[in-house]
Amino acid sequence: MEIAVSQPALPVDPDQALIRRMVLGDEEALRALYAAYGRRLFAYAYRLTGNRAVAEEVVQDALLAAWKGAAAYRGDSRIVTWLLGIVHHRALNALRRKTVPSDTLEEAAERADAGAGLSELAEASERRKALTVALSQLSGEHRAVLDLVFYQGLSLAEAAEVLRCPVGTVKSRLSYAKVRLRAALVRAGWRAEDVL
Amino acid sequence: MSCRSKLAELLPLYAAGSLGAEERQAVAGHLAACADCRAELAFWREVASAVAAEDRALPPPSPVLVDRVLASAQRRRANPFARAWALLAAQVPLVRREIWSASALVMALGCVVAILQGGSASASIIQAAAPLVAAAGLAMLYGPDNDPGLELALATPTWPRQVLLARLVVVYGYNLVLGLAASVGVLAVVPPGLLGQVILGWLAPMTFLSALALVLSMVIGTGNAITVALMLWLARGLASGLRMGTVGAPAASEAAVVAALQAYAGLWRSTGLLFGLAAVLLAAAVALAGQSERLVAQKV
Repeated sequence: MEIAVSQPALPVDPDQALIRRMVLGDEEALRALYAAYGRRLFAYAYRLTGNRAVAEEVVQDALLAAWKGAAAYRGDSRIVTWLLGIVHHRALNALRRKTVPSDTLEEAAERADAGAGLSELAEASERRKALTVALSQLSGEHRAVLDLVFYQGLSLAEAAEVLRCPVGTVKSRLSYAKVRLRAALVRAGWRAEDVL
Repeated sequence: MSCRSKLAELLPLYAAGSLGAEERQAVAGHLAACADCRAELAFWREVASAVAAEDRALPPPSPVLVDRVLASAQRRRANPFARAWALLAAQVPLVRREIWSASALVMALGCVVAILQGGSASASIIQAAAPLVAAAGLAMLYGPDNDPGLELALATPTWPRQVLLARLVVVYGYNLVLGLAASVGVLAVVPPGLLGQVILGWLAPMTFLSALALVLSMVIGTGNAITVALMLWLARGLASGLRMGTVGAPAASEAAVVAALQAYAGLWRSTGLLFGLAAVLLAAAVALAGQSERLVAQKV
């Protein structure tokens, strides 16, 4: 079963009109943007910072930056890529400014359980739980790259744009995440041959 | 254990479904032949499923977050001057980019030619160039062929008239500065006391011709508006240069034509009339801007 979170980039982004309206100061456009993308931006910010309150602050900062800097959006990438790039920048600033405490381990474990999904609990639930725990052990940076690829549905080039790094770096981060996840699963008792 | 092929690096993207058609086919082809990669793909598919499920299940951020953003944005813009400035500044990247460079280039060229020309004719070169350059800029301000996104944006209840006025101020102001700079430049060959006269020579014609070009562009399109402005301006140039022949008495019809042309040239020297007409045309432009059907009609 192929997991397609989103289509590969479409040639025309209908939300570009929202950005134009934002340039003219239309507040409803910003609300519409938040309604469409707020959840996704928060997900990425949360994965990077590991802290819910900080992630909200980051999204707020990023939206304000998008509102003020809407005129700078040239339309040569998707809206979501542009927004995620701003979130990434703001999140890094937040992490630099202060040490961000991760949400407690209990909270993270709770979320891990909730994320399993009822329909999938019946099958391979042990393995999925182990994978979820392994994911939570990844650094924010690596967990965030997985978010970009598997939840936000970005292409390699788009992910590189958000992260402001070369495409090669994205590939190597994915590769590193694979190694770490595999190691975590082996530590949790899975046999290496069963993992990969 | 894992495959060394470059294509193996694309497996996570393949699992996410975000590869382009070519890359996807290449990876699929490789998968048919490589058991290691098939195993790795299965792993990535598990990861994809887990990550997507986890991130989808995250509780959403606070719904009032966007209110907080707007509140802090408004705090910065409570000051009406700040608001006006923000609106003006916002127009700069939206205005057709050629306007900036083309206007500056032509005026710089005009200034150089004027200085090289020297003497009293130098001022008239600036006076000939400035109004036309400004008119061309103003004609390119509006309409779907100049600003495709504007029509979309104006379909919502924002302020087309304010946008028009803001753009007008920005582009006219820019041309005003260019004209002043060129006039000062020409002082290299013109007595400084004449600066005021040089400026007045182009200020009123520039204002009128710009307003006319703007209104025309909204009715007959950018290209036609520039053409009309050019024709009117050239006619003025020719009419101004006209002198009555001194050989023999002129025929009645000839005298009438010459009188008409001289009157036409005279119009361009009546500062008050030019500014008055410009004000009327500006009001017309603002009124037209309020009718968004105008923009749709221009597309044809």
